[in-house]
Amino acid sequence: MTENSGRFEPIEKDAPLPDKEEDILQFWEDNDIDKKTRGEEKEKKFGFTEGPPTANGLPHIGHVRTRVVKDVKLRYKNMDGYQIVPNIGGWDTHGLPVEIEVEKELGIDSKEEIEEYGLEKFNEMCKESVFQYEKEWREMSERIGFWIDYDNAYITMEDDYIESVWWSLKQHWENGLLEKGYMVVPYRPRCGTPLSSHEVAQGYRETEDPSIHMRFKVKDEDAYFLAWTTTPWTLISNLLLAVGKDMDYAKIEYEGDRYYLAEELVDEIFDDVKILETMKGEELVGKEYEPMFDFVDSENKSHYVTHADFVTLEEGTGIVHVAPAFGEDDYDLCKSEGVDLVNPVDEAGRFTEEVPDYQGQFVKDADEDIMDDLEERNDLLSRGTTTHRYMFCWRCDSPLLNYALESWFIRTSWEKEKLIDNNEKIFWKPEHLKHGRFGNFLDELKDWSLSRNRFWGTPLPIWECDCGNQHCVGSIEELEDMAREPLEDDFELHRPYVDRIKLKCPECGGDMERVEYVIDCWYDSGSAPFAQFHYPFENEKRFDEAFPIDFITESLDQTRGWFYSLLAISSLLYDKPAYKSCLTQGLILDEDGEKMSKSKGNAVDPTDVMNELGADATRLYFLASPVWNSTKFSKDLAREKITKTMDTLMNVVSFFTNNANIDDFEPSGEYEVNDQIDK
Amino acid sequence: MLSRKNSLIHNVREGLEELEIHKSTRAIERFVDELSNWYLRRSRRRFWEGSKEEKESAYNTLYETLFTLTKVMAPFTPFLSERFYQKLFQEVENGPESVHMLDYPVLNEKKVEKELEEHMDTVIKVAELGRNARQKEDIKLRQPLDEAVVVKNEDGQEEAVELFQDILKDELNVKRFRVIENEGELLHTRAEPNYSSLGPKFKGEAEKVAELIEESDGEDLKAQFEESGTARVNGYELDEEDVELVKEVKEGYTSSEGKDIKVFMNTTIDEELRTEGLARDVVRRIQTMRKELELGYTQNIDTYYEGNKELENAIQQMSDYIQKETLSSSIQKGGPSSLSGKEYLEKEWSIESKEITFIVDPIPLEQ
Repeated sequence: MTENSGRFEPIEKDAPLPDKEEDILQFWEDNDIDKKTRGEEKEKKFGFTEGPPTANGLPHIGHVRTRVVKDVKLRYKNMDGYQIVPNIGGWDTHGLPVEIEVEKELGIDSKEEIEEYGLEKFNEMCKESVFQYEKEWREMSERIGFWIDYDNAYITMEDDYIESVWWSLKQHWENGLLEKGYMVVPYRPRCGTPLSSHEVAQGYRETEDPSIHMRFKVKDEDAYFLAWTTTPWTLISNLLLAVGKDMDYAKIEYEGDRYYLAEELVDEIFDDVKILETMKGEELVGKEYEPMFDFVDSENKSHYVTHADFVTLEEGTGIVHVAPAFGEDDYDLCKSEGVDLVNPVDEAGRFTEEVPDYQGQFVKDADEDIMDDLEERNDLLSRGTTTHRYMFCWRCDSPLLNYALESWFIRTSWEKEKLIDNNEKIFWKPEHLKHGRFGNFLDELKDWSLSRNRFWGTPLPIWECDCGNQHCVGSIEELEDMAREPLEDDFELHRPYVDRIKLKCPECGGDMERVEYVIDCWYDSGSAPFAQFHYPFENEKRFDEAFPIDFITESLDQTRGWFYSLLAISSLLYDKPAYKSCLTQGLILDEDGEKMSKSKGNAVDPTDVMNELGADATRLYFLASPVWNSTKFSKDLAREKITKTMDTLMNVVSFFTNNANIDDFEPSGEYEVNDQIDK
Repeated sequence: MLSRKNSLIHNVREGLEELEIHKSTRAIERFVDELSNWYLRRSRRRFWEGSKEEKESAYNTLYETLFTLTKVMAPFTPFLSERFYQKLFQEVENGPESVHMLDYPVLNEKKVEKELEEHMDTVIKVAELGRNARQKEDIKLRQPLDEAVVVKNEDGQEEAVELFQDILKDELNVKRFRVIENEGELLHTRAEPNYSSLGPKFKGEAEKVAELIEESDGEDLKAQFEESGTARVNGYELDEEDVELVKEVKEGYTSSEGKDIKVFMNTTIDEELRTEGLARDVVRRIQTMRKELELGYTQNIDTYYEGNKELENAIQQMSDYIQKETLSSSIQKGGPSSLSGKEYLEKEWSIESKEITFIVDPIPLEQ
């Protein structure tokens, strides 16, 4: 064949795709094409924010799809005359999972050991740990054709970012939405940290627990109150019994003793007993009973029967045992009754010295001994087990306890309507999420338990004075102004550096010290829309251009995570949704429809896929089925795309090139269409 | 095609805006498929042998289509699109450095001809049904047939077939194409005996009556039933329940049915059609040999043949046609007196169980 000397260059359709793609990558790099394309100032703006991954693990094929979906939309908008604001990636870097990794590396596993090791060193290790695989993440993104700027990515651990976060917290503070409280929260004794409701939601599962009926001796009466529990250890600090005042109760005789319980439940619990009399719950209110245990000291009144709305006939006996520290309802009831809020359990979930018999034991481990004790005293009427749903830690799978903890909260429940209203403005895809999974979550909204008793995170910028004054700091400048001493050279917005800063109290002139907490890392990423700009300290104009963000897309599991934190924070700050549209993505499964996991050995390596098939085929494959569904992936399946669409197209292009060159075709702007099929 | 191209722009944009990106991707895949398997296949001739006007139309259409497609696909397959752009379009269009700096195609409403596209859809459907009908009777596509008939049940169909007659005749390899209103003329009624009714009625004679029914004229029985509710066959009186009237395709025709269309093909193959069919087979074999020799599109050859008499006759009768299709400057029986010195190919073939040998001798190009 003659050398091609025509207008159109031959397309080399038989060359391997990945090789040709490498050439294109080189071409883009040599000519800074991505920077030029994305860097152009255009009038129309398209706001985007990347949901930040953590680079302490290798990217997997699911991450590839996430990026492909982001990229196709951004490329489209960019070509359609929009400037992508901002065109940067993001890294999530704080949080307990990072600490756990470093703990493992150092061979330690308690907070005392961390403090012994030295916080500065520990935090440095955390910083390194989160960027361990940054290179692989960037390479994957580049190879797949994702044109986002990682050189200027936002990083949640940088001072600029943290300063913006502090600014936002100060806004909540000034609006009265950030305050200290005691709330019975799901608590993770192993790590000594409370969890937010959206974290707990991720860890519910079935488990087996004790199920016992026990009796409380009625004072000045030859009778007992019958109650039921699955947490015998909470009996240690029982202070009240609750009934429903309008419900029907009965006094029955059983094995020589008399018991009070709900009339309806008599037949369920006992086989064949005589009902001596019946009465309404309110007749039982006020009756006193003997304490089950003597350990706890209670100054105010206690150990009597009272009414509570939460008493039901669904399970139990109709008489509910109440211990203030271990249940939200219990806590609220005791608070309103004026009963002491005793808590004989320490931060690690162990009984304190207040309970000498079980001191130092993890509460759930003490269940057996406590049941034995009750049995010996004849106060245990039944001893069995039950299988029910209980909450576990989504990270370390230890059972969570309800615990009355001092905690700092963002009172999202007070602004629930704002969140719900702003959610209405969002274009959700699939649509059912709006009022389904996400909407339901909003309906059940609880306050955001923000503080964490840990080390590697954004410090909670609250300083307290002995005189009772509290102050929230909203910027580095404010910190410098109020600080006793000038900030050190190596100062950064992390522990232990911030811990050393004492502030002058504006009220009494004394020393203010920072509370020890760091904040929930979900707050970090939820702040991305403004914190990525170091707003409001810089880039006000850019922020205004980008906010609310036009488009985000991440995995479906973010409905309890990032999608929520974004909405909550933006609703409280601006009464606006942080994003206008949200596209959720499903999982990638192997070709048999099984979840991919390292242990199963069925995980597909993205680099491997790129080298064999190239990025275009992979992209086409992912984009050909609804993104929100779980999709099977295998190299063979993706290869079909090459043959079906890409090879076909290349043949057409080759046909054109060959013939056009032979015929010396020169495209003319205007031409006569003379065949119907051309039309 | 240009209309389709604009529809593609519309569909892809919609999918991206509505966050149903898979719809955009699938629209692209369908488009590429149609571009190659329909448009290009049907238009090949115009590129190779068309008149100046035909070529201008075809080339420009294809060029414009490819350029638009490259841009449409850029967000989906950025690498491939860049490749196409650099090789084909950047210089010619004097455009920016990269395809990704171009504007995303916008819908040109004026170019969308909904009706035209619908006609094309009809045509594609008819072509498919035609192929199905052939398959039923095991008639290969290369065998030309006399006629294909479309039974219309929607208005547009007649227009569609009119407009694209040539394409359809070529696609289905028939001499004539026709649209009719009522399929009645291509069907006939056959009478089948209903044994469960005949048995008790005619008892011992049931067999005989059944035979008579089978041999009778279904149409006639039908007419009789319509008139009086009964029919007579050789003296036997029959009720409607005794006979099952089956509608069948007339002899010499086969049919295939789609959602709203039915296509009939005339399957009678006379001498002429048969000869033509064989000629096409010959052409196919010679073309295969050309490909094996890796000859260029414009390379002429001398062709020689020897073998089965029927095939030789067919070749002689259709020599003009065969020469044109295979770029044979000459086609002769026997073998070459001398070979050109360039590579030649001799091969034996079996066409419909008849043996024949071809020699393909490329003619050297002018120096």
